[in-house]
Amino acid sequence: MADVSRLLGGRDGADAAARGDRTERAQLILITGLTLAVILVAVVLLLNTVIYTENLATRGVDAGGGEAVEFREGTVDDIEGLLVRTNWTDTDRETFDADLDRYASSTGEHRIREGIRASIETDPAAGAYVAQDADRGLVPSDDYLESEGEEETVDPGDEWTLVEGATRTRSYVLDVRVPDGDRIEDESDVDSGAFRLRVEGGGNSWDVEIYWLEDDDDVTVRIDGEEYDGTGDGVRLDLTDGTVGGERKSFVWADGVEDESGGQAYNVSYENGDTVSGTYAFVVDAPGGVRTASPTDPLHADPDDGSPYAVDAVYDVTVDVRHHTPDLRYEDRVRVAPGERDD
Amino acid sequence: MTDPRRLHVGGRGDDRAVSVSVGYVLNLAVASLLLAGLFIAGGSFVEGEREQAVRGELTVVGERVVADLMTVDRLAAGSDYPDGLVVERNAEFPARVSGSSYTVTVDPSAEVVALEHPRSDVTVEVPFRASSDVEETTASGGNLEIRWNATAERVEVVES
Repeated sequence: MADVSRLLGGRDGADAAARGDRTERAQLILITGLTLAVILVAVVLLLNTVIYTENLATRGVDAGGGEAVEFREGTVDDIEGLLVRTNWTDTDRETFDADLDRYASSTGEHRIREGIRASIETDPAAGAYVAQDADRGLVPSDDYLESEGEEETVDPGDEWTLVEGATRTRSYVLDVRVPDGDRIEDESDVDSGAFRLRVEGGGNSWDVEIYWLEDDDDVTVRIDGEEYDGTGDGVRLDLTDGTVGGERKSFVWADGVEDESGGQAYNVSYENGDTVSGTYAFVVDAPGGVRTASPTDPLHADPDDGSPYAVDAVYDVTVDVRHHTPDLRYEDRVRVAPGERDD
Repeated sequence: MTDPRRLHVGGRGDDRAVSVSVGYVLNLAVASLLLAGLFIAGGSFVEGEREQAVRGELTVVGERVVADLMTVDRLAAGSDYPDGLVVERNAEFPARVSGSSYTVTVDPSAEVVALEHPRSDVTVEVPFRASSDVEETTASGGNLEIRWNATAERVEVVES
């Protein structure tokens, strides 16, 4: 083996060897070996930190905020179900509030078991459900038309207002037929003789006209100037969902009148309602804007008295959703209003 | 009597056994060359590995930052009330990569998150796409908080 001591200018290696002192021999290789070992350890440490960092990449802690989104969407779906059920079954407000509280507390308890602090706060807004269940002309209630003591006689074809001061409307379904005898000759008669639904507010108006021309096979629906065909003598419209006969069209409910933030109040009225017959139903956010003191007002207060009627309903629920995990704090507000135009 | 060894070699006495020493020196020289070669090779191997490691780690960290940034953006984009929205994402990252610190730069105009490691002169850019506004920031590496600023209505990356 090489004698390093000679290179390093130490004692004469031959002398040392002769004396049997072999401890200082082979130092060059020893130092090189040690240095290489240190280098290799450094490489190992380096690769170890790489493995650690790449481990971070695969650590699946709610990568896309999916849990939070799922919680929000699930809450919205559930509350939507509660809301629809309440409006259908005419459950009173106290029951609805109690249902919401129970839902919020059970959801919170369920989530805490998974290590998530979740809470839901709800704020329902009152509204009115206006509907005509019986197939009749789209005119005020019979009581109203026949009422005595009115200052002026009411003609069924006159324009009459269903709702005043609404800012939002949802789930507006209109299912009408035009009787054969009420067909109009040509389009010049539309303004005077066709059924018209008018949404009016802030100096703007949005009209839906339904008529059946004598030389036409199908009923025509004219929404904001745009014409669509019905099927035969009738048509089913979902005005807030934007469908004619179940097919989605490009019109938007109360376009130019309704303000998305709910800042513009408007009225909903019918004219020439005696030229068509059918049913309708919708929910508005103006419980005070429907006139139900029958017989002096056009809507019944109780569905048992006949159509059309208006009853109290829940218009929407504003939900504050909180979802806290160690990695993500998420708090958002969602407004649940199934059947609104942007739904 | 003549010394038989002298006669045999035919030279002076102190020239004897020189080949052993020469061989010894040659041996040492070859060994030194070999070891020096090993040093140089080992050193450059470590250097190469270090750069690869830094690049790999910065890519991973960058992708995590981008994923979290886009998570916050997604939650904000899905909100109807962005002015009251709270989204705070706490992300844990190593404070040092390969023994020295690095910086995280969010550049919304180029839509990239750039991670720079000054010591090894490595820069990694990870692209992202956000529908909300994103604040232009530079933070030093380590634990970050990626959050929604409801007042300014934009996504921010801050050190936590």
